[in-house]
Amino acid sequence: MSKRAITVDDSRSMREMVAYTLTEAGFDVLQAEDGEDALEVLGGNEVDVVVTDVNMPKMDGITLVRKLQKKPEFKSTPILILTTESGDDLKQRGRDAGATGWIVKPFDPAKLTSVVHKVCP
Amino acid sequence: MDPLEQFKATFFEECHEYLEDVEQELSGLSPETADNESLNAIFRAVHSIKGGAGTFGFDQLIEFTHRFESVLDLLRSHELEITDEIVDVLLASSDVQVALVEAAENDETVNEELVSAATEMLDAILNGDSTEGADPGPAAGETENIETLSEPNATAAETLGFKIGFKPHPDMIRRANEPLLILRELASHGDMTIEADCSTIPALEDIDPEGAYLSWSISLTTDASEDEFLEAFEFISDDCDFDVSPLTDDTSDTQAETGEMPDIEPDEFGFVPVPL
Repeated sequence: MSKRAITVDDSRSMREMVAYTLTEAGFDVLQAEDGEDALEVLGGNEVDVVVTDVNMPKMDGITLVRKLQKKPEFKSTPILILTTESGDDLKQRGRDAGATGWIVKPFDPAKLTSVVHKVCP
Repeated sequence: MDPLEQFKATFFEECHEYLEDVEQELSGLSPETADNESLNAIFRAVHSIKGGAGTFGFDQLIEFTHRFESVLDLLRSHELEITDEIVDVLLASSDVQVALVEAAENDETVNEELVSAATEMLDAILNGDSTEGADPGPAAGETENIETLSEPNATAAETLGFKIGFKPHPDMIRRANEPLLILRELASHGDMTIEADCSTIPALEDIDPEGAYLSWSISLTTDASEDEFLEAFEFISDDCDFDVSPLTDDTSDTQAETGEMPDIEPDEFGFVPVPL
């Protein structure tokens, strides 16, 4: 059975590229356009890894991570934040919220694949 | 062909939508009416253009968009308060943004004077607030993708590899970072032997299932630079103790003696079984 991932990003093209990359890496990929949408999608589906942007309308990525951490079914699901912001402040906020790791854009498919495999073999 | 090429058309479609949003928000923007929602919306639009531009390598677009985004970030965080002058700069920058996106889309050149003028205005704003740490961040062409910046570590060439001590904290495991995956990642860089320190494992009835009781001493014989294999620790460096020192001929001989369990063969990853 394939592993499942969700890509959360308000940019359609970014979602499609992440989805394409993770599909090539052997995942079935769900999509959501912001944190609220992600919670709805994840309400009915289990995933093995979450890849989320940070800057999104309605609910940002850090808030999404916090909310997922409160749900027992996602406590041990790796969550990667994918963002162009690479400052230590954001990394710290991500860690404090419970993110497993982070990847900085520009988006490199090989890097994303390797990191996802690292946290979700 | 780059497999992501197929998404360029979608990216440019989105850029046009974002730029329309930016124009719309800017047209109503003034120091009196500026609100967080507008500022955040403009920031997100420009931020998304930057993300895609970076993926496709549109350097001039990246460089400008990054500056534009940095100013917008200062505004949305209220580190910089909006003025009529700044609104003018944003309007000019938005025009340049449109021109740069179109140039990237159609593989054309832009009016360099226009780009320079807007760039100077944005830089003036950014430099004016640089004492507050309003650092525009990486310049075009530089990325923070760690592996693309890794330079050969001169000291690695002079050693056989590295000795690594690794002790996860409970927080690492709570963030769904599995230590065995880290060890596997290290093993992928060369030949590895490991000793596990099990001395702090409590009795079964006292074990916290989310606790972290193991630590490992690792010898890694590798041509990889320290930077390359330290990537394995980039997420978790604050959630574990780890130390790295060069592995030389002397230390590698010592490491070959496991001492405690001489009759037990390490498995394919160099793990020595944990005694029960």
